[in-house]
Amino acid sequence: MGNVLRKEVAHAVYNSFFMITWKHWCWTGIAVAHLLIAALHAAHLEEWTGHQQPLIKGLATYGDYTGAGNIFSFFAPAVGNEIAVIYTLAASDSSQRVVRLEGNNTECNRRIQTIYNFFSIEEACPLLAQSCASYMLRRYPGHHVVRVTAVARHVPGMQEYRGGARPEWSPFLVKDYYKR
Amino acid sequence: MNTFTHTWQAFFLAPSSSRPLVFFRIAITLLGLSQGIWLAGDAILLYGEQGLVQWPISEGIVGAHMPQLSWLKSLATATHLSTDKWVFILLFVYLAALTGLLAGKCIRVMALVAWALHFMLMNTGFMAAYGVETFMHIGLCYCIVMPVKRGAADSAWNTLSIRVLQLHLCIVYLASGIEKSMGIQWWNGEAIWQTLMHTQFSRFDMSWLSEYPWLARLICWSTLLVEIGYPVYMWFRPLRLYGYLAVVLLHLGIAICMGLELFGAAMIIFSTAAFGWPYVTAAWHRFVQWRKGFSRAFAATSCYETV
Repeated sequence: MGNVLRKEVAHAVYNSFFMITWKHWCWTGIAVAHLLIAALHAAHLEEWTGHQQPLIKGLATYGDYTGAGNIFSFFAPAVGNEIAVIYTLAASDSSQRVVRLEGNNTECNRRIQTIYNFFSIEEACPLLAQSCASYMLRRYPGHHVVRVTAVARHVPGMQEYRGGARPEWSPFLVKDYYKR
Repeated sequence: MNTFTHTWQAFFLAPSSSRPLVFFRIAITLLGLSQGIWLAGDAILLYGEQGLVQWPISEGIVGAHMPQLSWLKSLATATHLSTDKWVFILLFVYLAALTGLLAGKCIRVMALVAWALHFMLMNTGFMAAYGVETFMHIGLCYCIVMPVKRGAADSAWNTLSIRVLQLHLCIVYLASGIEKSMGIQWWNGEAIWQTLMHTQFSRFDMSWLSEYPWLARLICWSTLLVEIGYPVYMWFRPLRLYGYLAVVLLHLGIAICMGLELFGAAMIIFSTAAFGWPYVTAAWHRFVQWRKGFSRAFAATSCYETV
């Protein structure tokens, strides 16, 4: 009996201190809608519906601005080949130098690597290679031609590795760009 | 009040402390400052008009309606300053806004400025962005709307904000786990093997792992369990502490073995603010008590020795 009374008193006191107002309902509704949009985007909403519908476009824009529009496919469904880019620069006196862009800044290297991963998309290759070449020619102004060589590193499976196979680099894009 | 309203209220709106949110603001801001300072020297390479990925390419990918640094072109022309100089100016303003946010001054304005500039930088460097940008963006957006100010009284808004963080994280981990589970590499252990054999991630020689495929499988399965199980163990109180520790260990492992320190830190910050704060404070109080006890014992011993 005492317990029931205590609970009722506690409940009444709690309610007197705190009542749900329309403002609470609104913000809770906004929060739920926001999470629903985040869940839909995480489930690849745009892939099942197409990006052209106005509602989906609106949701995508909302997601882009608030961070509710992300997919979370880190290292999924599979880990791809590592890609590196080597630049061979030639000057007018026939001297050449081979450079890589990666330096001592590990965080910057990570981002360069993330850019290079786009070389695995065939359609992106020519444009990206051109952009990289243009950057290198600007960075090394004494040179008039740059050869962009994109190489992929294939890591054998664990079983093949035990059998003696080793990771191999193989070029998949070699292109020369000239200074205009 | 009906049961639904009561449950809804108890879950989303029962008053609670703002401390986890204050921690969230401070930690996210420190992360942003570290990232900004770390990358400042290479800002032109990553975000410049004539950087590794030139502005027209980024614009083509993210769309012209998204805030990006190419919007600065007219400003650069009007001010007779190069776009590269404007990149540095904006980076400086971004870091200043983060400093203001860290200090707790004009929180919403600072968060808004930091979020907007981070969004511009992220869109411009879209091809260079990875997980840490995603979570910085989410974090800064939440700092604009959530009550992240220090010293705020217990309120329903704190609980609502923490619930949003908690549920958002459940979505993130579940989605990430399901996406991984769709690849065969995460079932046969090849995913962790391939990752650790990448020269960009390998900090140590991990080729010995090929001799222990069961260990690679175990690491992959554990990752799937931690990610897919996140919404289950984080809401089941008796398992929450162990789940939180597993998440922290997973991200520490990623930071140490793969060099993804900023990403690891971002995920630990999110999980700590959402679920781990009570455990962190309890551990801290226990440490303080232990230190006091140790100091007292040490003082007593010193007195005895002096006498």
